[in-house]
Amino acid sequence: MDGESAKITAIALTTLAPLLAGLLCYIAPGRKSRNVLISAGIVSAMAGSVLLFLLLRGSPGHTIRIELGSVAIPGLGAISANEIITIAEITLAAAFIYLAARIKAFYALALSIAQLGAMIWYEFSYAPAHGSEHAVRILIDYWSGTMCLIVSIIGSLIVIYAVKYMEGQHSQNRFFAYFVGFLGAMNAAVFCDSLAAFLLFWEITTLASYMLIKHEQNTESLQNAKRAFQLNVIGGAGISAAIIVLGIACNISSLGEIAALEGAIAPALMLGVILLCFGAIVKSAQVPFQSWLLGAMVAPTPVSALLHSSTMVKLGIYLIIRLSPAFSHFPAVGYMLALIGGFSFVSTAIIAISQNNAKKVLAYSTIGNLGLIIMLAGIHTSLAISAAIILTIFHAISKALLFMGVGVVQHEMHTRDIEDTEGMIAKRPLIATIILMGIVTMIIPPFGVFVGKYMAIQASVAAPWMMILLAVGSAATVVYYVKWFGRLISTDREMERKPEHMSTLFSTPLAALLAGAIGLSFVIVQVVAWFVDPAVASMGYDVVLQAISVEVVTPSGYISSIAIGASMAAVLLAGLMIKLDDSKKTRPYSCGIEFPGELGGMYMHGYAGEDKVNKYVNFAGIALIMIFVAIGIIAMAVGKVM
Amino acid sequence: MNFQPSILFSILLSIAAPFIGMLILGFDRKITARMQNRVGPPILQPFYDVVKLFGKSELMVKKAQILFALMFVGTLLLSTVLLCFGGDLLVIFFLISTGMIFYTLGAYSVKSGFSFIGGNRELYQMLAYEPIFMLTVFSVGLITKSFRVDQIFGLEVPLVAIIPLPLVSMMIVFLIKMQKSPFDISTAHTEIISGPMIEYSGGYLALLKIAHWYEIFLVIGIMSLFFVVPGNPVLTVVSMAAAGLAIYFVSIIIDNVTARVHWNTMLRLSAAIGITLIVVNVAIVYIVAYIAGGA
Repeated sequence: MDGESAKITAIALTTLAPLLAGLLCYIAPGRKSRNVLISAGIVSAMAGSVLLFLLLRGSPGHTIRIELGSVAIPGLGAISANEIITIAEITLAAAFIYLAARIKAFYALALSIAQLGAMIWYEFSYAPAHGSEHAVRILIDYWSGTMCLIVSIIGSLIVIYAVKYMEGQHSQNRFFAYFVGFLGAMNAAVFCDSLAAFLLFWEITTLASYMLIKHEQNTESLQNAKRAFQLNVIGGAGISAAIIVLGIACNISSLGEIAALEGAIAPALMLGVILLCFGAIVKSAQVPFQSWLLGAMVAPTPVSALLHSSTMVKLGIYLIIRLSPAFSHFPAVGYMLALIGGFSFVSTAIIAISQNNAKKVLAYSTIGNLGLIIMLAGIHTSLAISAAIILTIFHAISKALLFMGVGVVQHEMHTRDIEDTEGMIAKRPLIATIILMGIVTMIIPPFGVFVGKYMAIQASVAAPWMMILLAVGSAATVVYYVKWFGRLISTDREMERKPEHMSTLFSTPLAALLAGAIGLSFVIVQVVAWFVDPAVASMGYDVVLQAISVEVVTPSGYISSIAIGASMAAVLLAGLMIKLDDSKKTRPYSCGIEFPGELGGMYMHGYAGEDKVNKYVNFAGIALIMIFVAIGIIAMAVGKVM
Repeated sequence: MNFQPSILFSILLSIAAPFIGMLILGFDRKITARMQNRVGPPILQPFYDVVKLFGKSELMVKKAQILFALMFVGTLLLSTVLLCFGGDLLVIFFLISTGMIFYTLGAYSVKSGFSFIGGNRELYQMLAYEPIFMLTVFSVGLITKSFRVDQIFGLEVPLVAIIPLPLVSMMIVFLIKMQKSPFDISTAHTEIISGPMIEYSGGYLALLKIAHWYEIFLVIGIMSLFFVVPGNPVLTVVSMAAAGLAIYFVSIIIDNVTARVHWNTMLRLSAAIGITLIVVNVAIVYIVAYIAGGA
């Protein structure tokens, strides 16, 4: 197999194979055949993503570029790839219109119709007349390669978990069709350089997430799915508008062209980039669009794990980081993105303190971390982008771990309330430990998310005012995670640990993710050398993170995760060896006061309750977004980029 | 010329650190007593207390407490060593805050009313002081253009000449860390009987006390970094020590003239005074630099 066909194979394995496996799941006659299809889909995605990354290392310039001019289809003759994409897009838009009409989503209906009309006009009337038809371009660099690994490996682990979780539930064929297909669509989206093709897969993820959120088919899930659909159609409309603006005013049809621009910049380009970022902000559920992701928790937990960790919301992040090199031409875009992301980070961290629903805490935590990443992309220095990539990788691992842990609790103990899990360490030590480790890897050094946050603070030297948001947000983040950790370990005596049974379909992906979260944190020097630095370099930034023996050296500091981790592990091991015999055990001291059987609280409703702060948060969020878009329009009006 | 603390000095300082923290606490009790017209305990009383605690048999509820106590001391020890060797100030800060997380978890691990309330209050305190502490560390990095402690010794003027206001904000952090009025909220002896520490005894309680010594050393050490006189080792030692004493004396006075406040008030004070002062100072630095650059 020569180089070129190996690359095509790897791309097909990560995109077409899961999509096809998903489609076939729809018509699978039984559980066994469906499981075979699911396995085929995820195995090929995982193998393909690793193969692709290895091929990247050997490719000239560490990028894979493929132009799909025309494809020969038996019986139809040669048909241009661009036409295929256009036809697929029109079909999808028609499906959206049908769907929107059926669920009475009128905003989405109006937007979809307008979008369909505009796309048809642009593709069939404007583009041919102006000779701006383009081949479909695929561009894979280390950033897309890293995203593909995240999507394929973490996504596949979630699929394995879902197979067990969904056992015995209704319409599994449809569920897994979208679930497995999602991975293919995500991979395809991160490979597309052409905006039109990117939009197609973007919209497929919108459709898939809608179908997955409404899976339970009850009033609440239908309503929340509708909201997710409406909001994401608004985001998609932003991308469509960007395509038309960029195509007409700048003759630009791909992401690569935007990031590589030099010299005089047309104001329309700024508007186009703002519209693309707007789409990404909706997709990544930033304030004021957070409601769709919060509502999405009505879906079965594997869906939440998938949407929050490796797919869907990460597509918005991917796009903004991909566009970030262009922000140097129009600083206002960077500032506004930093502000929108930073505001989402701090406001969700505060609201999360008031939540006692485990899935909701995690949802707010996701929005907050994505906000931090968007803030860093807005700062767009090399260090900021490095931090953003580290956070993207480690957040995906830890968040998948946490959601799947919470999912097991829900599956077997039928509760999502953190207060109900008080003292779970004694009753279900295994699953409690997994959630505890998930929390630890989210907040405590030397784990990866912490390293990302450490670099984020250094990166905000370039935008010092952001640090206020960062400082308050990270203190609040520590509070809500520590509070949760505390509930899980709270018991009034040492209890006999019962042996605990867990299905291997649950334990394998959980163990793999836990090993990944801990292991990759210990070899973070290699993670930086293999993934982060190459990805930063492939987007045209200078590399500033140095991986020197056991230290990651930044321009203004250094951190050695191995040294910190090893010291802490040594103390932990020493502690584990201490024996506490029963004669030295006692019961808690209460000074003669009767305490209630259950201790709870510290939700700070007065400061952090949704009913108290949501109206301010949403108002500020809407204002920020409106200013953001207005800047682009003003730039057009005054004919000057800002 | 860069003043690089020699390795021997760093090692000695790491070893001396807990004792410096201990002496600060000892003097604290003595001076407080004198202010109230009492004789007060000997200066080394905290040390005697710990020695005695180690000799006592311990009664614990569960083993997890021991783990958290050890992790608490361990992370603070690591942080102290990094500070003494001129490491990365952000890492030092995060290790302190990790230590506090372990301390809080130790309190939460026992289902006991007082311990639980103590844990909650510890979190309120973190919410109040972490942003100030982090912003102070950040402003040091902003001025030094590096987060390495050794770089502070290469500045042209002492930090306090450029950013004095974060030091005022850090007084809030220091008072909280010293468990002093008006912010002795988590341990509040008269209310919740030492809160987070109530379920500890014997040697493990002694560990918490020692960790507390480290904590005091770290906070006062970071605050005295503002008084490094570049290029002059002798004057640096003198001014750092004098500053440490002054900070500490102010804290004793505040302790004696105030009463414990509700955590609500603490949060508001920390946001209204703590964060604002730092922001104002950094803004002034930027404005001055802008005017100087424009002229």
